Amino acid sequence: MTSAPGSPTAAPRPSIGFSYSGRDPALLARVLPHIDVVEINPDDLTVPAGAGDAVRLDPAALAHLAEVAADVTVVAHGVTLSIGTAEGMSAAYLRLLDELFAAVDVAWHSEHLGYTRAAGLLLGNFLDPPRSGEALDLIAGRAAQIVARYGRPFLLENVARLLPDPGGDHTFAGFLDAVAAASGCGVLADVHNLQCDEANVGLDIDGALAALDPRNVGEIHVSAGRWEGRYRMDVHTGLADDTTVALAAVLHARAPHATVTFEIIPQAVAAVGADAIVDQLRALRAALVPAPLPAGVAAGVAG
Amino acid sequence: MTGDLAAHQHAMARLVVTDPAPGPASPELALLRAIGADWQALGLRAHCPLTWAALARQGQTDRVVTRFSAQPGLSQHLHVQSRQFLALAAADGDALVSAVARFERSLLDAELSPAPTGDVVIDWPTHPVAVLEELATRCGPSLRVGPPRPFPPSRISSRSWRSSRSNPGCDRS
Repeated sequence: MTSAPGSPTAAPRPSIGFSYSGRDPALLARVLPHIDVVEINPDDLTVPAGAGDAVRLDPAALAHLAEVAADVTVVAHGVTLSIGTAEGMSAAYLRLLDELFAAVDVAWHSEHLGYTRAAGLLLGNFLDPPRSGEALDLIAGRAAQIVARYGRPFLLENVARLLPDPGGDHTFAGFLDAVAAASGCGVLADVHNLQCDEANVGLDIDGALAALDPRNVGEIHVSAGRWEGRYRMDVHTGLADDTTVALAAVLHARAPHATVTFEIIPQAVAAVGADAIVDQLRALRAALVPAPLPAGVAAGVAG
Repeated sequence: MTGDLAAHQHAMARLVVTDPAPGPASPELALLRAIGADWQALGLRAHCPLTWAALARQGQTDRVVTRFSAQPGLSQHLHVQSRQFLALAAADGDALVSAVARFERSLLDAELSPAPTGDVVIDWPTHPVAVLEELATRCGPSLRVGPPRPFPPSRISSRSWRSSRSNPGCDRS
């Protein structure tokens, strides 16, 4: 089992994760020998809870994940919390997490540092809030509530951006670190999203990574993109570009305790194929430099 | 506490969803809207295949999805959102799309609560079996249509085709 982010007992070899639909045991059996962490999306596991608007987690999927958690570290990565929405984050998503944590041993969980709803409307995308003191207080306060509610590490991920930077009092990396410091949450650094930001809004990736406190980084995401003219889109429908894997390796060298997770949407798995996914996971592990063993451990092995 | 942030987000929601500025959008905004529409289409097509096919048959998907996306209070969860979409399609002006949407909503309700809770009577502008067979064919292998069963005479109107939710045999596989 992989240590939780921030644990003082970091894994002696790089920890690799895979985004799993929670409904494809044959694929899971193929990738399991190559991964340390299974990342599931609670929003993908919902079923109607009645005739109204309520949803709940599929009991069959929960039972399956409880079995999976006996063999491999299971973590959750959601998309509907909308932690940055001024009117309030999603109570429905928190109810899903309540169900998940009650049934499955979830080592840590994560969401996106952004908002998907505003003024009662679905935006169809993650948008990043202005990096203001007001947004910092709001998001850090909510993240602290979530950390306390579940008692497990909670990470917030940088989102891919297309629209002009909303600006604010903090730098890009400074805002992530400030939210982490004020709430006790960690950072999920999506390196493909950084590449999207570089192409779309002119982010200085080297500067951002140099400024980011690596101690806050508990997980790193890699995924596929697609170009639309000069814009880089975060699509998760294929294999990660070599440059994305290389960028993950650069960050992982600074944050060797972080799990590096390959993300692919369930709808794309059949077209990409299990063999190619396994090759991707192998390539990812090969690209990461193993964390050095603590001196005492190394001496014990030698002796 | 959230005054400036709320104002900013409301302005962004208007920009992205409800109040496109006159003239062409910026390339970035157009792409953002297209991404949102693509994700929404992916989910609705999978959860409401018959209604989606009926709309596509008439070239109405973009119009209805655009109208749908601008509605406040949509769920982020597809099981709920698909019912919200079917409610909108059922209220659409086209009689055939409306009948198909009501039929598909009844299928979803039947999946949720297999025990019949009462008849759902749908007025069809044409014979439903032929329409549903065609739509199911358009949906591909995700839907299969069984052999049609005879309608109970009491369920057939002299002026229009009517069906209860138990007819005809169109099952999700």
